[in-house]
Amino acid sequence: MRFASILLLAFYLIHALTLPLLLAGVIQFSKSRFLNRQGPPLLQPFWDIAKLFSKGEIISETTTGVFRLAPIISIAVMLCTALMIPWLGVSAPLPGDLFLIIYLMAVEKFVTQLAALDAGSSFGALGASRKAAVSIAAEPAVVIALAALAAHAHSSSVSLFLATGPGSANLFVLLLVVAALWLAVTAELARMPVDDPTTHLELTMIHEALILENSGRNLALREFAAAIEMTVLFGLIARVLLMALPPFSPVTAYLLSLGLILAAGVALALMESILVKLRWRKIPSLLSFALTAGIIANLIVVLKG
Amino acid sequence: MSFEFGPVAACTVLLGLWMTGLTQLPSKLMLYALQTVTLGLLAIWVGKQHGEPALVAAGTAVALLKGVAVPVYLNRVVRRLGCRRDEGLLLAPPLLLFATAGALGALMLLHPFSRQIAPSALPTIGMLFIGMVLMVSRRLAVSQIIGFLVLENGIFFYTIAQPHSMPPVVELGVLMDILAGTMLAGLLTFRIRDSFEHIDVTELKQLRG
Amino acid sequence: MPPLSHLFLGAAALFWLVLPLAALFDGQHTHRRAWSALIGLGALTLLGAAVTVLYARPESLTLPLPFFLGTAPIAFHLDMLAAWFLAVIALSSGPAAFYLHDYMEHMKTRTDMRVFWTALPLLLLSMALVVLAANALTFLIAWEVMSLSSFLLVATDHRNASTRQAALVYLGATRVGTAFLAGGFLWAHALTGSWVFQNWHLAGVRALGPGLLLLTGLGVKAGMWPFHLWLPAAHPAAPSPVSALMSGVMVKTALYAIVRLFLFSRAFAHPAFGYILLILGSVSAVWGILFALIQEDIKRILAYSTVENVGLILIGIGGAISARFLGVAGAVQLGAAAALFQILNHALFKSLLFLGAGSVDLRTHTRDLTKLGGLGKRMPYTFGLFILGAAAICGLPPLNGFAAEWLLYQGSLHIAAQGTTPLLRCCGVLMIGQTALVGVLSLACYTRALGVAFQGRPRTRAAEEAKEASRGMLLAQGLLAAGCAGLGLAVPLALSILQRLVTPLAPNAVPLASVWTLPMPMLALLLVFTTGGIAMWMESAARRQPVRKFITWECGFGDLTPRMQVASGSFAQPIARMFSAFYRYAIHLHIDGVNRRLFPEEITVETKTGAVLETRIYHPLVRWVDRAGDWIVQMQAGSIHLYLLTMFGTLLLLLAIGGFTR
Repeated sequence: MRFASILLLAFYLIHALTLPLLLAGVIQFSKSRFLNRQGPPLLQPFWDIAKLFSKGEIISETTTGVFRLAPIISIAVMLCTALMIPWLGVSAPLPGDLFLIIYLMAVEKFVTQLAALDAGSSFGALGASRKAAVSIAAEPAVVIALAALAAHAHSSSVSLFLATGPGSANLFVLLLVVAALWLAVTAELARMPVDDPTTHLELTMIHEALILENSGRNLALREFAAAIEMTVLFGLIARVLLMALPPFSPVTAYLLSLGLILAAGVALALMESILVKLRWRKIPSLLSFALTAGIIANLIVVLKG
Repeated sequence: MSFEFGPVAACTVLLGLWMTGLTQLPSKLMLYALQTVTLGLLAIWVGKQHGEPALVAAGTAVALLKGVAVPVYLNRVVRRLGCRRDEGLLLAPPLLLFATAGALGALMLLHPFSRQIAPSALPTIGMLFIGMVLMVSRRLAVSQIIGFLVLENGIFFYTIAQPHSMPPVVELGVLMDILAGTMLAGLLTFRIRDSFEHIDVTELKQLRG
Repeated sequence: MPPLSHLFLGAAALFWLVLPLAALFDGQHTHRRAWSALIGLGALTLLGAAVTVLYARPESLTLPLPFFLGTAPIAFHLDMLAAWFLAVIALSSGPAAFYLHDYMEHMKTRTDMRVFWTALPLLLLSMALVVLAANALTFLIAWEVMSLSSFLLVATDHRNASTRQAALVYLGATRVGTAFLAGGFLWAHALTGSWVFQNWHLAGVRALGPGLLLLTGLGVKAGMWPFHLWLPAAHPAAPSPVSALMSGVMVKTALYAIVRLFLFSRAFAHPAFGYILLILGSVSAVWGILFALIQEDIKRILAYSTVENVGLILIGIGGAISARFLGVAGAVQLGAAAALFQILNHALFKSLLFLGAGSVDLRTHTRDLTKLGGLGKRMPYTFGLFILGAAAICGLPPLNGFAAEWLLYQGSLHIAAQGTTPLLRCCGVLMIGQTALVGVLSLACYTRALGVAFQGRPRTRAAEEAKEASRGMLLAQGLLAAGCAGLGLAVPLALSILQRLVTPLAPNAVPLASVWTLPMPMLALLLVFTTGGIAMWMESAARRQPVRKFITWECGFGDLTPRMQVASGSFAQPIARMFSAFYRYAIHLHIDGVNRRLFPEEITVETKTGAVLETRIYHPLVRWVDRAGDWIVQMQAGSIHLYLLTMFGTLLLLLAIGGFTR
């Protein structure tokens, strides 16, 4: 029993350390293909991260200790969340809770924004301010959407409300939750219609503006944490989708969620290739759809239960 | 009713709800078309289940005429008028979305018409309500037409949800009226634009003596 | 041999009564250290009293005869609920004692310190008495002492015109509050014929009148929306340790009375109270944090954030009251526990933040965010402790704020899942969403405060020359921070105490210990070890390739100036725009020049915010009162005859009323 749980932990850790980079590679790769370009090889992000880790850091002399500590905290927090969400199709190694996970992600947001403000650069502060504004619109949507499942399961414990098999909420609710999560999560991750990761004008961006001052190992940690966040959240969406299907054997569930995570990456790449970036002032309107979908999902659960 | 009716009905209402949050007229028309075609197909399915050929005929006509012909025509109107966006009148679209969703939720939860209307027909009331919201909340004349069409969809939806409540012949007649009305309204929109140089209906207040 | 709890209480009272006497006869050479020590000793013994009362059986204590209030004795009731609040008072005022003597140094020349050292212990003592009072008259007396002593404390720096103004606003608010409170007590007495809280059992429509009066009076003190306006006025004006006590503890005494009268003793039993508290609590939470987000003064930010936290606590209390009437036992327990827990937590982290803001104020002589910046390098410990307090108040795990917010979420989820009607379940869902919104807004609010005040580069010379706070001040904050962290890890311990408190409310509910299954200590260890491991690895790598320091990236245009940094207003701008309807937010942009578009000569941007509540409701009200006052002033023209006539007329009127009602 003890051995099995350690094995599970190792399984999750290995995936948390490799899959995010693979996902980043898949996104880059498929985005290039959608644009009819050759694009970098699939495993390029691994080399990029390795290169960054081998480089030294240059930091601004204005910074305090927060600046160097923040990426470390955010990666630690992301690894903890990755161990609490059953994003790989099999049950997670640590007992998780909906609100704990949401607030752990808030820790990551908090330190990231503080680090961005630390150098006294207008870019970083703009990024932080935008990040705060986007999460104000997006985070309630995520909470509400997942609360629909929690209310259905009568518990906020991850092992119960994300349980697959009979007794999970009906298809309609699950699809609404997935829609809400997808909208809110892509906004939180600063991906396309909200932020364009391929521009190179930090003045208009969120994620890149936040990390403008980071370099070398510091930047590597920061990017790694962001990649883990994306993978885990996509895994969460995949898990909600899997709940709509009849239960599978662990291996099938694992392969399916792996496939779904990568498919989400391809879908994101497709979205980023065909959509234009929204005007900043339109973002609340976009995210209001996520919140409405979450509320409707809850309404159905409430009326049925 | 069989189990497939509920989710499909809910989908059509959700499409209407989605429309309240949009500002782009073409996407709104697209959603309207989707909603109407879904309703038409639903009518055909219900008609087959209950052995009512008239309902099947009405469903086919609605799906083809109201679901395809009308949106295509209105799309042309919008393109020729050259105004694709319609910002909200009183509330900003996201707030309108929340307000409409809240009102729908209250309708479902409180069910104030429980004497008159069966619970299964509640979504139809919701759709009527959404149509009304769409009509009041937007500036452009085209939006009013869309809102009116959604409202009419609500009435048709009621016919499907409560079979035998209204002879489908009436529905077919209404359909003809709607078609003629839409054409007329579309033409009138051009006239309004030509006379006032815009189609903002809030400006009609200036017509007072 | 009297019981231990009496000894402790007596000792605390002694310490806090000796101090005013000693301070009064001290002349201007105040022995600040000695006085601080007395405050601290009082807090320590009060904590002892709280602990002993917590584990003793509830008992009543009536003072002997000379202490008598006309129709009721001065009587106290010692039970677990009172003990919990005594602990709140003690835990918040104890650390403040270390802070006082260094902080008050700069006030010495500006004001008569004897007033301060007299009023402060009186405030502490009266807060303890409010919590212990067994009958309405004792409560009212203690309440008045509390209000007046805190007024004196707010007015400490009374040479300053804005402080005087703030103190008067506060005084006005307390007067209005007490008037409602007294009205409510009188009404309740008329209905029950008793002054003793335990004898009040009003239910149904009869409870509504006095209950609403009391809720209004207590709501004014608690800073409940729409009566919260005195908080952002009074807190910045008061010396920081006093704001810490007022915000951390004094506001809680009003919450204590609400919890006691409406939830625990069921003096006023009507579901409407639950709904009112729930609605006003929700509005307070969102409103408070939204306005905290756009303030420029650190202490105003904290004051508005108190409104938010009071809102969250009221949601817990209101939820518990309504859940009891609707028969959702689990939610009663969770709501009450969340509220009580948050009351303790808020006392800790809000005191911590106010003390931090006080240090900033002391060292830079300004609380204005637009004049600060870069303090993190100059006051590293204050910065670190402020970060911890901010993280705790935003409910970030593994600190204490998270535990209380989690309980609130669980209570809402319980209602959402197991409410008896769909409407009720829907309310539960909305409460979850609303709490999430408040959480993420407060995160933005504190990020902004931290980022603008402590990070980046100093915006003024005063900020540039700031020095770290003194050791005593840091120690006070350190103790509070340790409390926040410790309580976050020792949640099961706190829950076991809370369980004993809330069990009478919902005897059949699932025990809290089995609801709280989160392994916080393990999570904290995991986080610390992962962070520590990676940090050590980073350090060893940095030894091989030293970290180079350079200027902040300025796009190659030459060095940045502090003015180019994002200011507090611009950080909040996207969010303010999103909620512009609440703020009446407007941006006025003016561009001047011959070729305005390409070569502007002057660009001025002005943002304007105003609260609907102030401009639309309170200003007209105040104007109306003013006008009424002008009219009444005519009567008070100095004519003795007129006065006598008025008194005589009133007497006749009262006699007539008395005669008719008989």
